[in-house]
Amino acid sequence: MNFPKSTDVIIIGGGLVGCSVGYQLAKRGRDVIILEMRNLASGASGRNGGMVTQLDGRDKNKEAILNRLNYTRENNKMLAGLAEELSYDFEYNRCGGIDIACSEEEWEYFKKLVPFQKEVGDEEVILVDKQQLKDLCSLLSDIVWGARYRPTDGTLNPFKLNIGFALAAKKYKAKVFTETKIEKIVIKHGTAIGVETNNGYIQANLIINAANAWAPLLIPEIDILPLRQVAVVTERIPELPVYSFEAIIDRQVIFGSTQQKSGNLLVGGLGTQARKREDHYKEDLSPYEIEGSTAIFNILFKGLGDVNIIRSWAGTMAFTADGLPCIGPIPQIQGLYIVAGFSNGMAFAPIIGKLVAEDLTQGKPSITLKPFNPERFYNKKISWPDSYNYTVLAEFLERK
Amino acid sequence: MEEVMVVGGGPAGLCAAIESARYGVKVILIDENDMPGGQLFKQIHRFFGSAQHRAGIRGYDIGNSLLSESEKLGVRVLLNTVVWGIFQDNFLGIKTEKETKILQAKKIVVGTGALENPLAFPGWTLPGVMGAGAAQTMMNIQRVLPGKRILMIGSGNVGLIVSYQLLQAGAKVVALVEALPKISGYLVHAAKISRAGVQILTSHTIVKADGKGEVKKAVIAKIDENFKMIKGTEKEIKVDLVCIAVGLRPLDELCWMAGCQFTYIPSLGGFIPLHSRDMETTVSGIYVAGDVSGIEEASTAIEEGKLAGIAIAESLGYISKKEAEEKKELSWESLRELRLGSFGEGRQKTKDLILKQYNSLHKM
Ligand SMILES: Cc1cc2nc3c(=O)[nH]c(=O)nc-3n(C[C@H](O)[C@H](O)[C@H](O)COP(=O)(O)OP(=O)(O)OC[C@H]3O[C@@H](n4cnc5c(N)ncnc54)[C@H](O)[C@@H]3O)c2cc1C
Ligand SMILES: Cc1cc2nc3c(=O)[nH]c(=O)nc-3n(C[C@H](O)[C@H](O)[C@H](O)COP(=O)(O)OP(=O)(O)OC[C@H]3O[C@@H](n4cnc5c(N)ncnc54)[C@H](O)[C@@H]3O)c2cc1C
Repeated sequence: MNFPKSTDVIIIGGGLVGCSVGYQLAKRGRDVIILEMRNLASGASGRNGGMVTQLDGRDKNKEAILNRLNYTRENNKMLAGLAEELSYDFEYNRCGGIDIACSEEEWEYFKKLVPFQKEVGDEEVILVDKQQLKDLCSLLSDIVWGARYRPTDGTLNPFKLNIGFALAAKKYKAKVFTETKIEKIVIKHGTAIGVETNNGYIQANLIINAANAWAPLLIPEIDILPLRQVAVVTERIPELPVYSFEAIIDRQVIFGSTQQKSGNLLVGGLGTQARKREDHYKEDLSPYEIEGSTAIFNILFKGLGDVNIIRSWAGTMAFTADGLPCIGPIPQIQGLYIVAGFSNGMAFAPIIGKLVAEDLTQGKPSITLKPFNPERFYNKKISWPDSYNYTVLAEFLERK
Repeated sequence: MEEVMVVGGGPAGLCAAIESARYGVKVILIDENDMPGGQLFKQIHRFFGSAQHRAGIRGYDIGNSLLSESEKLGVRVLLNTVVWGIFQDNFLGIKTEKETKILQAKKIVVGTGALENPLAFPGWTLPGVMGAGAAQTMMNIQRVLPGKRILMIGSGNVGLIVSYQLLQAGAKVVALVEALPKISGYLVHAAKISRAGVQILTSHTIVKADGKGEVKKAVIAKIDENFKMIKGTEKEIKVDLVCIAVGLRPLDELCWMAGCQFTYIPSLGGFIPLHSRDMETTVSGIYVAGDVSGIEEASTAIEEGKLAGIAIAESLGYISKKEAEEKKELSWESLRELRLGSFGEGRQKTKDLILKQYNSLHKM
C-alpha cells in the first residue's frame, strides 16, 4: 500500500478507541486513515485487564455516577451484539464484577454508598456482605468484608476487540498504517491541515487525536496525565467462579479478572513506585512490581500460592482529574478533535466510537457528549505532583 | 550483592562457574532441575569431534567430571530453582521450592540452553506427540520409555541419535521422515540406525497424527521440491509416539528481558543475543554462553562458558589482563578448531558476523 498524501479523516492511534472511532466513521462513508506509531493494540489496549466495569471509582456524587452509567450501560447493550456486527468474537463474558471492601472502614462506606447509588438511579448494584461474597467467590480470603456487586459487569479479550474493530473498519475501506508516528500536527491560521509522520506528510480535513496517554504530547494544552500500570498472568488453571474484581489494598487500586476464557488469571496494580511524568511512558518492569502483583494472590485469594505466573508487563493508560475522558473539538482550532483520556476503556470505547461518529457526521450524537467536553481541561493546567503513581494522584485530588 | 550468578547448569554454565571460581570469584550456579549438567546427562552416546575436545567420551562422563570440579572449587549450586527474570541493574528474580527472592549480582551469565522447535500439524497437541529431546529426558533421565512404536520427524543429529537411543531402550522406530531431499545430520549416526532396520524417508513429512485421547496412528506422505504434499502418496502407519526433532532455538527470554540487543541468524536457531569475544552482551555485566548464544554443541558450549568465566574474573580484578588474554586465546583457538569442517564452517562465519555487529554498536 502506498503511503497516501491526503485523506478526509486521520485518526492518531490504533488502540481500541482509535479503531472504534475509525470503524464507525468509515461505516458512515468517511475516508479514514488510522495511523499507529507501533502496532495495533500495542498501547494500553493490549496491556489491560479486559474488565468491563460500568462504574469505576467510589465517588458518592450523583453527577460522577451518572456521567459514567449513562454511557457504560449503553456500551453494555452494544457489547452484547457487537461480535456479530463485527463478525469477530472477542470473548465477551458478562460474568459480573465485584468491588471488594478490604477494611471495616470501606465496608461502612459501602453501606452508605450503595443505597445512595440506588437512589440516584443505579438500580442494579447489590451490596453483598462477607458471607454472600464468599458464596459468590469461594476463593476469597478472610481479608474481605463485603463488596459492591454488579451482575452485568464482565470481561472481554481487549486484543480481539481492538483487532475486530480494525478489521471491520478495513471492510469499510479504512486504511491502517502501523509503525507510523505522528511527529506533529500542522496548524495554519487556526486550522489543523495535516500531520507530519516518519513516513511523510498527509493532508486531511479532520484530525482526531486518539493517542490516549500520548495525546497530550501532541496537544499539550489538554491536561491528561500518563499513568503506568502493571499486570501479571498466571498459567491456566481449572475453572473457577468468574468475576472481574477491584479492591484497594495499601491505598493502591488492584484489579483483575478471576478467570479469562483461556483459563488464566490476571491481576495487577500493587507495588508501582511513584515516578516522573515522562517515566510513565516506559514499559519496563521492576521485580518488586511483579512481586507486588503476585502478592495479591496470597492477600486476596486462598490456595493460589502455588500457581505459576507466566507473563507480566507494564502499560500506560491515561488519567484525568475527574476520571472521565476528553471528547470533542479542540477550542480555537478548526479541524482538530480529541478522543482521549481513557482509564476504563472497555466500558466506553465501543459506545464512544459510535457517538463521536454521530457527532462528526450528523452534528448531533444520540447521547450528548457534553460531560467530556475538552474545554474543561483546556489551558487549565493543574500543578500535579512532580513524581506520582495512582496513590499519589488520588491523595493529591483528595486534598484539593 | 552477589559476585556472579550463573543461570543454567549445562556445560556452558558449569564451565563459566568453574573458570571464574578457579581464580577466586564467588559464584552461585542456578538450575531448575534437581541435578546440574543440562543436556549432558541425557547424552549416553560417545561424543563426536576431536580427542582434545573429549570426543569419544560419553556426555554423562563429561557431566560428572565438570560437577566434581565445580564442587572442588566451591561453586554454590542452587537446584530446583528457576530464574524468572533479569531486570535493570543486574537484579534477578529467582524461585526456589519454597519462596521467590530478588537478588543482585555484579555479573550474570545466561547459559539457559535451547528450546525444541514445535511443528504444527493436525493432531499435534495429542498426548504422544513430543519433542525428541523430551523423549530423551524421559528415557535416559527418568527411565520411562515414552512409546513403543515411534515416528521420528527430522534427520538432524538429535533425530538420529534419539532414534538410536530409543532402539537401544527397546522401542521400534517405525520410520524417520525428513522434509529435505537428504539427511541433515552426520552420516555415521544415520548409518547406525539404517543398519538397525529403521527406514529413513527423505522428502517426506507428517500429514497428521490421529487417535482418541492419545496417538494411535500417523499419516505420512511424500512432498515435492516446493514442500507440497504429493497427493496419493499418503501412508498410514501404526505408532504410539511421534517425536519432533526439527531444530532448536535459543532459550533467550531472559536476555530479551534484560534488554540485550539481538540479531537474526536462522542457521544458529533464530534470534541471537549479540555478544563480544568475551561473551558479554550489549548489556554491560550480562554474559551468554552455550546454545543460548547460537545453537551448537556441548564442546563449543564448554569453551564459551570458559571464556565468559575468564572475562568475568578479569573484569572483577581476580586476574591480570595479560593472564586473561593468554587463557582466552586457548579457548578462542579451540573454538576455531571446533568450527572447522563442513558442519562447523558456516557457524564460524555467522559467529564472526555476530561479533562484527556487536563491535559496530555502541555498548549500552
Ligand atoms: C495494566 C492496565 C490495566 C487496565 N485494565 C483495564 C480494565 O481492566 N478495564 C478497562 O476498561 N480498562 C483498563 N485499562 C485502561 C484501558 O486499557 C484504556 O482505557 C484503553 O485501552 C484506552 O484505549 P485507547 O485506544 O484510548 O488507548 P491506547 O490503547 O493506549 O491507544 C493509543 C495508541 O496511540 C498510539 N500513539 C501514541 N502516540 C502516537 C503518535 N504520535 N503517532 C501515532 N500513534 C501514536 C499508541 O502507540 C497507542 O497504540 C487498563 C490499562 C492498563 C495499562
Ligand atoms: C540428542 C542430542 C545429542 C547431542 N549430541 C551432542 C554431541 O554428540 N556432541 C556435542 O558436542 N553436543 C551434542 N549435543 C548438543 C549439546 O547437548 C548442547 O549443545 C549443550 O548441552 C548446550 O549446553 P548449554 O549449557 O548451552 O545448555 P543446556 O545443556 O541445555 O543447559 C541449560 C540448563 O539451564 C537450565 N535452565 C534454563 N533456563 C533456566 C532458568 N530460567 N532458570 C534455571 N535454570 C534454567 C536448563 O534446565 C538446563 O539444565 C546434543 C544435543 C542433543 C539434544
